[in-house]
Amino acid sequence: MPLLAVEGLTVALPPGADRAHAVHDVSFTLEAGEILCIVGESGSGKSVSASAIMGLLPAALRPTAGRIGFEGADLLQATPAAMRRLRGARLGMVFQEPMTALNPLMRVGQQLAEVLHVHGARVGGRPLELLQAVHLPDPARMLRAYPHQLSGGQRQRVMIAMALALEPAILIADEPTTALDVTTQKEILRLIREVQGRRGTGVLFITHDFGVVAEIADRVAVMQSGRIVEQGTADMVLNRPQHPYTRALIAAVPARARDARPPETGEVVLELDSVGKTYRRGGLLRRAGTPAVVDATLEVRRGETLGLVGESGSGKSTLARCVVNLVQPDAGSIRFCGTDLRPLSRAAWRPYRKRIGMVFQDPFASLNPRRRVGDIIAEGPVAHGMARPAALARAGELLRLVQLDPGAANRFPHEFSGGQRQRIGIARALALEPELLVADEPVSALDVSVQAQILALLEDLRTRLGLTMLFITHDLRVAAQVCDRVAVMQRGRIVEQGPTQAVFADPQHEYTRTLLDSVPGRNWTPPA
Amino acid sequence: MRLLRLAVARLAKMVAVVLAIVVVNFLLIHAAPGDPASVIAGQSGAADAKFVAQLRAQFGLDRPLPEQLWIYMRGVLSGDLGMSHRQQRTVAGLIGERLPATLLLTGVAFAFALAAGIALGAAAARRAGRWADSVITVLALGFYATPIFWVGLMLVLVFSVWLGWLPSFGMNTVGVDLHGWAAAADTARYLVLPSLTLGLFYMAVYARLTRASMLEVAGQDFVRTARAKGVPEGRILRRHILRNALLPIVTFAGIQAGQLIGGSILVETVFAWPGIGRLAFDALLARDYQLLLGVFLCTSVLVVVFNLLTDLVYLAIDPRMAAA
Amino acid sequence: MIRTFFRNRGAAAGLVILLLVAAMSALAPLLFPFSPWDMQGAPFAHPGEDGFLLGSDSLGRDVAAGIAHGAYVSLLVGAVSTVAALLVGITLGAVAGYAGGWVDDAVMRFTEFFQTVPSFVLAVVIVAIFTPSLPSIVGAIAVVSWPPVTRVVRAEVLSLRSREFVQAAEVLGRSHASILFRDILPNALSPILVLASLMVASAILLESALSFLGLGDPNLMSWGYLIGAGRSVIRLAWWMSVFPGVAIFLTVLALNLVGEGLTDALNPRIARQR
Repeated sequence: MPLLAVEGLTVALPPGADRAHAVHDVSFTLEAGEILCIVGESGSGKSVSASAIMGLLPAALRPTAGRIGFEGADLLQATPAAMRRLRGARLGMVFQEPMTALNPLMRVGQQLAEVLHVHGARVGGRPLELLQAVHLPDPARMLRAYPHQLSGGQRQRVMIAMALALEPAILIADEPTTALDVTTQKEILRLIREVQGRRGTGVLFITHDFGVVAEIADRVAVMQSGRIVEQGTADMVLNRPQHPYTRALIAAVPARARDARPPETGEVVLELDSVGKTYRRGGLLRRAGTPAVVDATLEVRRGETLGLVGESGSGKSTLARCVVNLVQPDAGSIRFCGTDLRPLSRAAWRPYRKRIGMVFQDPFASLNPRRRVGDIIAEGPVAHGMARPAALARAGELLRLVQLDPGAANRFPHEFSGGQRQRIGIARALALEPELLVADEPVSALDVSVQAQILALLEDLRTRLGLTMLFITHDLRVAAQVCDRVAVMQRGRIVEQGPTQAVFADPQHEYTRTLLDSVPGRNWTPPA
Repeated sequence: MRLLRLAVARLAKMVAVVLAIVVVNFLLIHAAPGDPASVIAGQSGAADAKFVAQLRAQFGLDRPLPEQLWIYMRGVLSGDLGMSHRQQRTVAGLIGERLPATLLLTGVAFAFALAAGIALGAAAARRAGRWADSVITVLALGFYATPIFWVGLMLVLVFSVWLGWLPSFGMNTVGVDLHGWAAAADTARYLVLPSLTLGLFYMAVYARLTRASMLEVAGQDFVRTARAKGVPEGRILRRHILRNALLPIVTFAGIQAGQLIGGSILVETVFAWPGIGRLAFDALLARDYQLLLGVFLCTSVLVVVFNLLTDLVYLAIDPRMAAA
Repeated sequence: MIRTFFRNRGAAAGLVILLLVAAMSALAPLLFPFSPWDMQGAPFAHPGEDGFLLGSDSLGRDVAAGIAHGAYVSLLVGAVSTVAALLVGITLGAVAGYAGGWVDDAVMRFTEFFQTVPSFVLAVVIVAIFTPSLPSIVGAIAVVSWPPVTRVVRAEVLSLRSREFVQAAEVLGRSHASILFRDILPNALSPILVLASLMVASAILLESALSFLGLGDPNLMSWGYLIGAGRSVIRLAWWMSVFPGVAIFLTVLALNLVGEGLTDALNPRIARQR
């Protein structure tokens, strides 16, 4: 007798949406004590399914068919009052973004007590026990703390504690680790497995990351455009996928191993020596802030791709921005083909703008929404003296180079998807024919299948144009696939650097080892 | 500890602002076309030559400008705001006498506006999209669009002239000697229309703001978390939505308080309420600039004080501020 | 976007009202081909009596004519003072937001100071000292209206400045001016437009309040003045105070509705982009 039985669930989208249903004829079961992962890209309907079970669908989405069987009742037919009684007590849920998931004006202890209180349970010392159960440091002090005093990982633990306070039969986790660092993610995944094991809770875990699936799933359901395309045990789906979509998704997961390329021996294009940057807080009162980058030294040779790898707060983005002068470093030297760029004024930097280009992370924010695509790509050349018609013609060529239709030049950014916009961003960066390309997490905001396409594009462009790349990422898998050499950063310092293969196979520094250990599903090799 | 540091910083800023206002006051006197002495003396009919000469000496108008500024500042900071030529009394004295009436009026109006505005705004947000929401929104829009002085006149027309329920000018019944509760009750009757007039406009402002703030907070993640915990809607509204929605309203209300004092000029004029607003109007008619600028200084200081209070209240209720 | 605007019935109604008021003002010399200051008949005539559509005042002047001719003052003052305030506010706000550092601090201290001073009282003081006239009224209103513009523009510019497409422009080597005028300001336009319509509304309210207190231009008849004139005789001639007020109410309401319509019309576009 399964704990949860979803049969033929169909939820309609409001008229005018790009398809008729958010989810269509979705059926799956969840047994006690097992973890079922629902995998899919954005828009696949996985979150909608979870919200439907909890009765938290927004008013615009209505379930039009199906049945959700739980503890002898059909949840779709339950009254709002009945659903409210189930939520928190028999059904627990954890959401994706921990930073905004807690009421900023209530203490942690109060929020924990609340879930007990509204279901008529005794509060007593329970909140403290709950915080201890999720391994939060100094639980007694945590009870009195406000959410803004906790880190993302800590807040997520509080969320889990709240969700499991009344020992529900089912825990629904909607991408609970997507917004967390990989090391924190590892701990949260372990925590979920631990608490689930203790009470035999059924866990419905939603994710887009196959690595996470490999790490914790017992059974897997793959969703695409509102339908389940494949279901089965983890072993079956991960190692012997049947459906072409599943196969494509798994193929898109960046391969851990990369064909070893001979080390580049060309000239040193970029050389950083003891670069440092500290952000100062306060306007007039110059108080010492936290150092973002400390004593960073590295070099990039022509034709190679150097990866800057680290978690949030490691300083990799700051270092990248130092290289393109978006941020002025406080110390050290940044030599580009021999010339130190750090002391240069804004005007002196101009010629170097043509030689160093940058690709940004967020495809939705990196293009001016009010300019046409052709203008956006032509901006750079025009600013450096090229005549407009020539620049626009070049824009057309570049669009072809990034595998977009040249007619796109007349359209606006909002008419394109995330992956297409990222291609436009790449075209813009290449318009000035740079020698060095700084790519700041260029695929982190993209779905896995699109990610693979963009990485392939970058690889293709690199060989064709002979680009040198500084590639920033937090995803070790991506780094393993794309980078020749890698530099690992932690809290502003480069702790280890060297050829990617070597560093990943035999990490020297403890942090690198921790990082590699945290990669979810590291023991799983996607089938070729 | 941090809170104390922040409070001290705010206080210092307040002092700086007050000094700046004094300087601006000074500059306004000198910016006016014509001889500052006659500006100060006021164009009140025959310019008393002896008085003008006295002013010249007192303000040292033949001395260099910075020295004049220093003399003026010194005077202000020791409580000397000059003389009202028209009324033959010190400006400070006049203001001190009339200030309580204005504080009473604006205080009551503000309390009413805030309470009614938040209640209506919350009600509208709760029933967003339905007819109650539309009615409240339209009402708020209406009051927001009407000039305060006109509302006052209309209220006088309806409640005083046509219905005769409430008095239309003054602060208490003339010719009767009342004490204690009876006096308070009498003043209360006279307070109704003026405070309603001043309050309705700001009630509309706060209602719209509350509605918008609550709708925005209702869409935030932690509200969804509360629902997922099984918290009943009523409790969500009170403990989660309302509390968080009130934060921006507090700051806004504090900033708005200054404008309330400005609006009292209009209300006091319409209702002949004996406060500093009325004083300003009389000063206007009589071209008594010393008095007018004295009122300006006083109202500015009041606003600064009120802003400081609002800041402190906000610091106290938002736990995130202590860390900022 | 224009379609979304008109789908909002309130906003559409507002626009219609504004056009009617503007038309009334333009046609005033035709409808009432005499100066509103001239005596037209018996004093205190009730509305509809003696050919007076909205009655006559204590000196036998036509109230309807006063309202029609007065529209010109309100609209003119509203528009000009708003434009002036916008010019000052946008310039200061853009400079503060873009330059940052001590420039930003200085501008914000300056702006905060102006916002601390009660704006109406300041306007009264300025007009009183510089003697009431159309230029001094417009100037006074502009002086008290620019701070909110600066705040809004600065906030927009600050948020836009850290957006990746602006950073991309920097990396491409574009000049400060180019980035400001081609990337930042066009994207800051929406809130400025909304603010503008609300500012015209409050400018009209401010002007009417100043005229009510007797600080209006003595040569121009405005709605506020009419109400002020009717105040002392409200028991005898209620129509003198009521109708001009209705005119102000309708105009300001219309502007507010248009402003709200603009807010709604300009927002979904940004949301739809994602």
